[in-house]
Amino acid sequence: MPIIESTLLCKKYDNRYVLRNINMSVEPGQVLGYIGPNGSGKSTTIKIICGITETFEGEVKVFGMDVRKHFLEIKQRIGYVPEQAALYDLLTPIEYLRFTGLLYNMPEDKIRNKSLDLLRLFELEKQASDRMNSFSKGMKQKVLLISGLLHNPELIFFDEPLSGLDANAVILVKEILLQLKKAGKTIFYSSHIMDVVEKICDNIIIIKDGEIIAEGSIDSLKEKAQRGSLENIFTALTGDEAGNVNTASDFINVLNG
Amino acid sequence: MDKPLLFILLWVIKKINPTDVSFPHLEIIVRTKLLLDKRRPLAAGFKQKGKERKNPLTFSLIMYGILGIFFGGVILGAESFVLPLIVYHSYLLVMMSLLLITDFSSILLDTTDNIILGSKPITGRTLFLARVVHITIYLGQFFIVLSFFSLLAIFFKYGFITGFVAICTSLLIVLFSVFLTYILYGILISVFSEDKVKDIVGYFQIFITVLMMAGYQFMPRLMDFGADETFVPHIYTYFIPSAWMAFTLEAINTGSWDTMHIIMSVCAVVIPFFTLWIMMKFLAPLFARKLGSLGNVQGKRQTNNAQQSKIGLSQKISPVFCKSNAEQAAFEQTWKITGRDKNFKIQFYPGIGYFLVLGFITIFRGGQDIQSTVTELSSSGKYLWLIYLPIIIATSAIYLLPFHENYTAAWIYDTAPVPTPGKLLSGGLKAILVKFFLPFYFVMAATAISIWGPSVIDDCILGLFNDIFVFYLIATIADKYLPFSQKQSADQQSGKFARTLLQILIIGVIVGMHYFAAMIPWLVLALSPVSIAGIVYLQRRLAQTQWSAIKS
Repeated sequence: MPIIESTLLCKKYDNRYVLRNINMSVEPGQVLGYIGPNGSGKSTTIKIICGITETFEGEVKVFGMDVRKHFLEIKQRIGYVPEQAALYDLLTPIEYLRFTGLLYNMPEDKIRNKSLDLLRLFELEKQASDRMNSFSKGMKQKVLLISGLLHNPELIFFDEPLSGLDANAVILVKEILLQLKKAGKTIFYSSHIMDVVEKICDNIIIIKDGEIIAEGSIDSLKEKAQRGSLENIFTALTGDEAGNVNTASDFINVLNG
Repeated sequence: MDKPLLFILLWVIKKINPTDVSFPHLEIIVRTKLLLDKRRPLAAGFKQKGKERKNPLTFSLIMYGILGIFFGGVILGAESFVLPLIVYHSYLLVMMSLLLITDFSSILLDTTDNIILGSKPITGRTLFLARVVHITIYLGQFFIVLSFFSLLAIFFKYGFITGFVAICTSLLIVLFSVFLTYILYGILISVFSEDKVKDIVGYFQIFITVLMMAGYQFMPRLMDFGADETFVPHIYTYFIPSAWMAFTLEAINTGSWDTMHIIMSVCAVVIPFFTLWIMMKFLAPLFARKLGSLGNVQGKRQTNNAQQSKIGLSQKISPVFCKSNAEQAAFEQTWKITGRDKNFKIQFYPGIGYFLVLGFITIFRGGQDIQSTVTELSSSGKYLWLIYLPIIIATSAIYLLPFHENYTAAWIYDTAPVPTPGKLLSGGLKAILVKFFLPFYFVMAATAISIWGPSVIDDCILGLFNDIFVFYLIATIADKYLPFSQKQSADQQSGKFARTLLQILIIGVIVGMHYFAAMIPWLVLALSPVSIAGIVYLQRRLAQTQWSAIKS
């Protein structure tokens, strides 16, 4: 049974479709890369699958359950790691994890023990009782990662988890993704750049203007790109090197002028 | 007003032509900083929630100026010489100290300044001088608006010589306030960590705001100093800086130089300069040393061990008040964040101060001495004021609760398996009630019982339930947002008038009903169950709020 299954999923805002006929099926233990430029409908898709948005057309099943009806049960088994270190940074890591842990209905002693252990693994135990407003982005992101995984979810959503992280933290997150994959978790990785995706994802879906334009393993996608059908979108998602080189040399010319 | 001050200071510096100072650098730094001052939303004083004033600094200068007119009026109108001048100098001392304390922090503790300017090819002396010029102009503006009308009144009433000396004494007071600031910062920096210092400075900002509001309430009342009031100096008067200044002015004006006046005048001149010497000799070097180590505080904070971290009060009491996990989480979160969020504190606490001042003015109006006021009070029905004052304050927090700088963090409410968002609302509201209403209410009730005797105990009981009922009623009517989920914006301000009106209306109706019920002795207690039933109904309704009713 697939963990996520959507058939003919459509969503419209103000009479304009932002998602059109999204069909996907994610098997247990799979790592899915959900890639598309900004504004292509990635967040909307995640909101629907997580049971946050109820109004949509088509059918979406998570763990075999209808998201419209069983959103509480589904949310309980899902972990979500957002981008941009969005957390209540006036709290300490311990307090924040207690806050989220309680929202996920975890017993108090379990929250405390697990948070301490995980903070130690992330080398944050010395700052465990400091308010997070003095933390760097990377430190906050680590806390967010813990808070998304604390209740041991089966399915984990990563929404641009690397934005704003320093090089070391990026390596750490990549490693965690691999370990989670090994542990049999299903991962839904959403991003606007290919970067990490190609290394860890079993399957990649490319979405543009609310529609799936390609799907498959990274190799098959690359092959398609070379044959021309995907070239434009691929350069946009991987970064257009030729264009950037031109801008950079213009920049130097102005400085010298 | 900053332009002429800048012009004068730059002219002076050009004349002196100090070595190692680049004049164009100095000018552009100071000009930029003054521009930033104008655009920066004010930390203290007349900050309006969410509303963005085009020029907050000018606005607040004007407001201080208007308050200054009151002082001028007091000096002109009062028959007593010394008393209004003591008040004026005290006011100047307190306001300048508070302004220095709050603004010093942004200069002292702001490290971005060092990063931006430190990397540029500017000499250290230029930077230092730029800072001195900047803060002199900044404070100079405030000094002028605070003292202008009072000085004008002194010139007008007591003549040129007294007026001129008054300018000197005012400046001496400013010098003294600089000393006070130095002392305070010296203590704060030696004892507390950088974060704590910022927190404490935040409280001073709140204090400044309350003081301003209180000033506007009290000053017009001070205008009518009694005619027969002659000020007899007690021994403690010799310790009040503003008294030195006032008595010096009196000696100058009347020419009566007795021992008391001579001592006062000597104090007025010698002590400020003595403090200046102490500052140069001892405090400035101490500061330089402490500030040097300020950046390294982070390293030594490792004493915080997670295992030993103590459990906060909110975590201990949340199970008493909350049933579900979600409610408990929201309760603790609201409790903690309201205690730490500077924005919340700056908007909420001045409100408390304001209502307290207003309440006490209403209750203790016109009393000469405390004894007769109390006896007079106990025969009046004003205890209802005390009983219902706390809820006005607590309800103001309802409207602040949705807003937070880091509002994007509210995604967690969406992704977590929360059965109904009503639980989160209810947890947040309970935290406000327990934290900001109950303690305050019990103090007020105890005060009421001690003044009016045990006969008002039943009123206090009904009042408690009515207060909570009003709280939930207003929370039910108000737009429902989850705690700390909204961006602070100008929209927050819209409808504020209607909102306040409704609030007053509701409380007014309840107080009116209570007032009439109090005429029939048994009715007050008999009404309590009705009130409780209302609370239970509204509380349950709120706790069952569905996602569709939540605004976003």
